[in-house]
Amino acid sequence: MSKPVSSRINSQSGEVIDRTKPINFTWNGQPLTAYEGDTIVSALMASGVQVISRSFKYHRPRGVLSASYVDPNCSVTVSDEPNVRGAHRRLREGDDVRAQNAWPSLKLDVRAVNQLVGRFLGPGFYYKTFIKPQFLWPSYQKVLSRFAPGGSPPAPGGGHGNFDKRYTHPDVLVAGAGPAGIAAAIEAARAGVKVMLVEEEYEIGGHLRYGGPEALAALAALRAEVNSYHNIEVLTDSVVTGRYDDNWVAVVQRSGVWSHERLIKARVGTLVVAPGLIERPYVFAGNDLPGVMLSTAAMRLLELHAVRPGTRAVILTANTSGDEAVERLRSAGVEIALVIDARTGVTLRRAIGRGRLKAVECADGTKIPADLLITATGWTAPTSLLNMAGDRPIWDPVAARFFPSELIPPSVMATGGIVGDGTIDQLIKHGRAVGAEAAARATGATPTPVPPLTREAHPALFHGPTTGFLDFSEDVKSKDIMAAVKEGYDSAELAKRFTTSGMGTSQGKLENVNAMAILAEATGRDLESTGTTIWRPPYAPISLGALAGRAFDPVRISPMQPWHVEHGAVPLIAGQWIRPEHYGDPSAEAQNVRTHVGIIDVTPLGKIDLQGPDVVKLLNLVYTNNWDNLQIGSVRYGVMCAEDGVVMDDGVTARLGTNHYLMTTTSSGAATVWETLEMWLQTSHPDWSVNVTPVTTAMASINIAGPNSRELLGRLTDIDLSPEAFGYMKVRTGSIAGVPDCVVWRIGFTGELSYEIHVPASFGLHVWETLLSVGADLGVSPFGVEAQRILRLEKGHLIVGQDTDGLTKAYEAGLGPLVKLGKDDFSGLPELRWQESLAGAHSQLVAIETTDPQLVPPEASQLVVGMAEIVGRITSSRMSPTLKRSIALARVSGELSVPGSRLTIVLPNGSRAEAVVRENLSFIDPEGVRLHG
Amino acid sequence: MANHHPITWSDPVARSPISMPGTYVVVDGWEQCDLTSNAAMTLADESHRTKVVLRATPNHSVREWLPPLRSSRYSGEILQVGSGPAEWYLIGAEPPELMVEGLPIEGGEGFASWVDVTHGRALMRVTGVDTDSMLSKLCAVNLAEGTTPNSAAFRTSIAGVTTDVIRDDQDGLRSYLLHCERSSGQYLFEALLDAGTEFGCELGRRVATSSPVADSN
Amino acid sequence: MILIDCPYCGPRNSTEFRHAGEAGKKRDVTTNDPAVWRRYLYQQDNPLGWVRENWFHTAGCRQFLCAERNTQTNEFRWVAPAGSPGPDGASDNGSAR
Repeated sequence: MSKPVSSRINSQSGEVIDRTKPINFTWNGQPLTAYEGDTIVSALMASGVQVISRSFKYHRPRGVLSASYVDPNCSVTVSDEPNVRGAHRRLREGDDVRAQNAWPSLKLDVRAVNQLVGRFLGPGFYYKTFIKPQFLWPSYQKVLSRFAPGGSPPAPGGGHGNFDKRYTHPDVLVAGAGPAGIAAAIEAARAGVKVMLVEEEYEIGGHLRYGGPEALAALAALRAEVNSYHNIEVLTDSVVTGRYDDNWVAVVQRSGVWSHERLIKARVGTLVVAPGLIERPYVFAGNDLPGVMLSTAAMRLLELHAVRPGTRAVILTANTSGDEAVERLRSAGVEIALVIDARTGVTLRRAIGRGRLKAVECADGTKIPADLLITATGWTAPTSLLNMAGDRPIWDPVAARFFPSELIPPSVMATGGIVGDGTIDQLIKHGRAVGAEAAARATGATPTPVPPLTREAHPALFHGPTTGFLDFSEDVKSKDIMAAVKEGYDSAELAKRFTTSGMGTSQGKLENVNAMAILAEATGRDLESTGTTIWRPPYAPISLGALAGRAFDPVRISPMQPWHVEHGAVPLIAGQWIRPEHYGDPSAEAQNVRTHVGIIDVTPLGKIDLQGPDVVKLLNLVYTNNWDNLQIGSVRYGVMCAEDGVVMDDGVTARLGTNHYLMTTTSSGAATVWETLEMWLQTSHPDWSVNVTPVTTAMASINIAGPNSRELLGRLTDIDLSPEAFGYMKVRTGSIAGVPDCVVWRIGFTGELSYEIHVPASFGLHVWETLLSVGADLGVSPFGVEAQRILRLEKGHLIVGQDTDGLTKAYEAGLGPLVKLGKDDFSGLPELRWQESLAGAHSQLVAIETTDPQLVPPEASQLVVGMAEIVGRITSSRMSPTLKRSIALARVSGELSVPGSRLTIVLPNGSRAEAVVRENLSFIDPEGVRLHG
Repeated sequence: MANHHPITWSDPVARSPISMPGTYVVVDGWEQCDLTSNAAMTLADESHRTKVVLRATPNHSVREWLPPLRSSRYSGEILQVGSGPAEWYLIGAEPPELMVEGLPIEGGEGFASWVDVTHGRALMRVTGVDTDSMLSKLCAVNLAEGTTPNSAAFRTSIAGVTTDVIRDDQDGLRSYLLHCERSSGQYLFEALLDAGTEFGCELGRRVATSSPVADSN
Repeated sequence: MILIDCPYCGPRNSTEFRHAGEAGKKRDVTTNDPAVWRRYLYQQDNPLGWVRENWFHTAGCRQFLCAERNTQTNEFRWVAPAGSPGPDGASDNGSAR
């Protein structure tokens, strides 16, 4: 091996490494050491490693380009965390760092063969090659995914710590803590408002951090000022990723003390955008060789991490950043082989080398041996956040970069390099003026414009006389843009999508302007009219962990749920509710209800307390049937339809007092019904006096069903349960198991004699346990939702949403007798009037029996006549433990709903089965003897 | 009804929707956890307190007896809360009938009514200087002093659950009462505890550490 | 995320609300013309620019609100209890449907 080209230099002021704290880490398994404060890439460079990754498509060796977060060549895997930005992430003790996109190894990557067949991998290659035939798509996917860029996702169960979320409401949020951003934060804080200062790097300061003694002195003064304000919250290693409606700003805090990553959702008064400028790469042959880097990359490595990036350098400079790099490299002991001053119109031809830079070929053909080539050819304004606020940046040909337009709303301001040029003092002065104005606007002042920064002239340099890489992260070359134009993709957005330029990990921050400039040349336009693509959120990538972290996923349980769990209940997830589906044998549970008595926890049943002199008017409006004559102590079943006549919900409502009613709804419909009641009262009938109070979980609800239910409940209550005193569809209040204020009604969803009891929820468990303990001799046992479904299907009771769907109107659900068209008004009246006039010429809910009694056709099976004509579907289907045969409800077309009609069921395996329509929906006890007993 | 077996059962015990590790004792018919803490942040279950919701039409005179929307105040031991445009919560220790005693609910113009929701609401209290930061991990409402000072009341989504929040500082220390419908109580309680871990949140009723003054009750 | 200044609760994120359709539609249950009724049910003006619409504050006051929003910019210029006379004084008697 030859001697490493990069190495550590002597201690200097401004460096962020702590030489007293060595860090051990491994690179592809090889042990290396670095210092605390090193990034992964500075640590590698200090150890002489120059090739950090292999490129996306051609698997070319790549080294440092920008030495910043956006560096497209520095993504690595740390332990099992893929796609870590190695030029940004600080090294930690014991880090296991590995290269990506390299198989089997970084040095020998078989996929580099892509380079040799590069002419087949032109722009649009994937789109064009893998489009036909469609049946091969799954195979294409397997091949492509092996060649896809990036690391591998962590194994299931892995993870990288705690991901968190937080909301905040700063008056002023400053995105970017360079000199102008820091000054803006200070001045806003001076005005007394709440300020958040967000910096992508680990420390505030921006380019002052690597700008030499004068810059460091200015930064020290700014830092002291920031520290003096308790109302500035400084977030480092954090990035503003998006600005949305009404200044809703997303910030990802990457290395918080508490969390690995935290997504901060900020509602901001005034957003100050101060991201500075990103140095633009220069396009020429060999520009992706390790050893070719930007002037700011060299400065960062030298000044922050004391890493000498090479031994012999050629510098192409068009600005002070390049000029400064020459001086700093020289004083760091780098031999300066040649300085090419691009301001004089001179350029270079190509970079030469295999695997790393060996020489630079000048425009005149001279070849200068070098292991470092620095370019300083211009700047890109990262206008992303301004774009998201509505800005459409305008190209300034004199300054050779984009500037914000006038389309920014007053709640968003910008300062620093993104809006102009100046000395450190001028940038700070502008920042201060913007900060003061931002604070004023946040507190309601009329917006006043801030005098702009001046703009300095800069030569417009995009590429040399040779073609080279444009987008390093997507392996797009400048000639690919030419090819795209030839194929007709000649607008900014089309060329981007066709070539995928700007769609890689740097997301256009480095390559976009070069791409637009080359596109402009290829189409014979200028950059002003070519424009640029629109930057959309996120500005910086967000890990899925940060998006998913601290998920809000409420769970609802009844007071008896812990008992169910203890007794082996299989959980059923129904919306937010967790309920017992069964306790092991739903069929036995159902049978026990028919023969003895069962109890089921029906707490999720919606319950709404209605009080007021106008409750009846409301009931008449929301239900299809009539509520004028419901007596105190009685319960009535009702169906609600939406305004389109579609069945929305059903349930019973009890009259407890003169002006007092208790409504029940389906479990899933509780929220919708509550909202519907409020809608009618608030928007159509504000003159009605009805107080609506949801009490779903104020009462634990238990259904006691079976022939022994009267005996069981009778042992615990002071209510007279005799059939004469307490008939079917009646309601009583009293005490149960010593608990006062319980509501009991006699209804029968299961088809058995049953009582539904509603007890103050805190006593739910007491009553449940007491029912089981005092009823042992009666054969009481709990049953779950599945047994209830079986029982109600045997009885032929429909479930809204199961046996009806989003199109089922009342008459189609067999609910015609409950629709009172004579009422003046109720929800859905006109539609139901028209449906009624169709006189049965619509689908109907029917009960069907399969010819084979053991065949239980799956729910949603299609019903057909002949070979293919679909005439309906099965909505509910079970094996009946009572009848020992399969039973089902089905929706069928009107003409086939007549009893005795024969239907064909298409089963999932393609075979067919025969069934016949029954006389009655009830499979058991159609006369209701059990129910009314 | 004649019974041949002597039917007996234990005395009714009211149980909170929130369970936590600790010893439970029955106080006034309610099972309560005996945990106490003097940590920087404490989270306690107060679900056993009586809760009454009262509604009144805009022309009803009971409104004059109750605090305005988005505010709360103590009337003796009863915390009265203006939770909605025509909606008040009363939170206290007495039976519900006594909570509304003295309020002119019957008669007069308009219509007013109340419902006992003691068993239908989970009530919890979180106390400590950082409770605003903790709640900001779960809630998008601005908890700054200027927008939600002591005694402010509001309803919003906390960790995805619609929750009534009352700022009810204790001895000058920032404290919030939160109540939501009962079935989500355990979820919300655990969400608060998890969000509070960062701030050293512990379970239990807060007990003053340095104050030598004994509780005058 | 859009911020809606609820007249009862103050400024809140739009995720606390449910959009409840355009306001001012007239509900006539006496109509014999299905076309009239279905226009009421399904057809929205959906203009580019200012629209009067209803919102329901699900996670807050649980009140139906009437608002004027610009569909192009998402700016709200007026939010009031349902049925309030508009900023122009015109009353809206339509249902929230």
